[in-house]
Amino acid sequence: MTLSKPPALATWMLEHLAPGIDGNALAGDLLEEFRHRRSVAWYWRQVLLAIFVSFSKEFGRQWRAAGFALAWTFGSAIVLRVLYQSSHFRGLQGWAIMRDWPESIVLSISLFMSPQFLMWWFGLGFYLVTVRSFSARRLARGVLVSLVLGLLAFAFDLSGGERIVMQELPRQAIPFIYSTPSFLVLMLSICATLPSAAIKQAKRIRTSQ
Amino acid sequence: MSRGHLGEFELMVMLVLIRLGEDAYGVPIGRAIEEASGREVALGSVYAALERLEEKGLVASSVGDPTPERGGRAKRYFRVTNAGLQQVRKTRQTLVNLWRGLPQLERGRI
Repeated sequence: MTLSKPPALATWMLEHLAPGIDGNALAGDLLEEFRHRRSVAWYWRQVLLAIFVSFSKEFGRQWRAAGFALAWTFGSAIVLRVLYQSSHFRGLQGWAIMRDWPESIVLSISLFMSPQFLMWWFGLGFYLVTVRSFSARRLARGVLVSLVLGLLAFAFDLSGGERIVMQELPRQAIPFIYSTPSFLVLMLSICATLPSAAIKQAKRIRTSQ
Repeated sequence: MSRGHLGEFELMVMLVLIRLGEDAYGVPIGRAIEEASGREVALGSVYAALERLEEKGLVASSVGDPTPERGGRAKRYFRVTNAGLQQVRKTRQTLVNLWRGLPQLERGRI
């Protein structure tokens, strides 16, 4: 069924999560097509494909960010392993598990996830400062993207999806499989914060007119 | 200017731009490619190709006025530059040369 208004979430995602293309013009085109003859499913499909294409484009462009995200991912994996194996952290986990339900499950999951999220956010902020692109708005956008993607990654891990993937691969690949979601979350968050060449170009066109 | 040849999708986009002339923006470009290919086209891919071509200097763009039916968003018009026209001719010539003298592809034998 075709509605006169497209899904607001999809439009928001297009405008905020597609750094590699001119999201404003594309959003206008999608809205025009949607009002003319297209369905909600078509709109969602177009938005998700645009985000995928945008990030693929940015990945090819952001070699410096990719290198940083890779180094940060492996560095933080070592830090997190040390933290998770420390007696203090295990004691904290034991304390969380001993609480009443549902407090125990909420605290346990939060304790497990929060160090990883902090590593992503610290890495994001560090990168933005290093490339002199830091602003509170950019950091907030990156934090939001990492929050959404990070929760999806943890949900995939908790559902056993990661273990199923690993059973199909040789043992040597296991550290890379563990690190891939973390790398992708950080890399995509960085991409979402940086002004892409396409947006810079669109702004140049607007100001020159 | 790019010295390489255009990819299949880039060539399709360039030909559509030439065909549409001054009215070339995302919606008609996407529709024209869909009609020609018979497949749904992702407008994001069209923009990615257009921006790649613009970076190579083969396409230029300008922003129109915002319109209510587009939620107050402006159209971004694209046109082929002289360098772009030369590139299309060069790609066409290469394809014609490669196409020529292939009996297997004549009169629907394959």
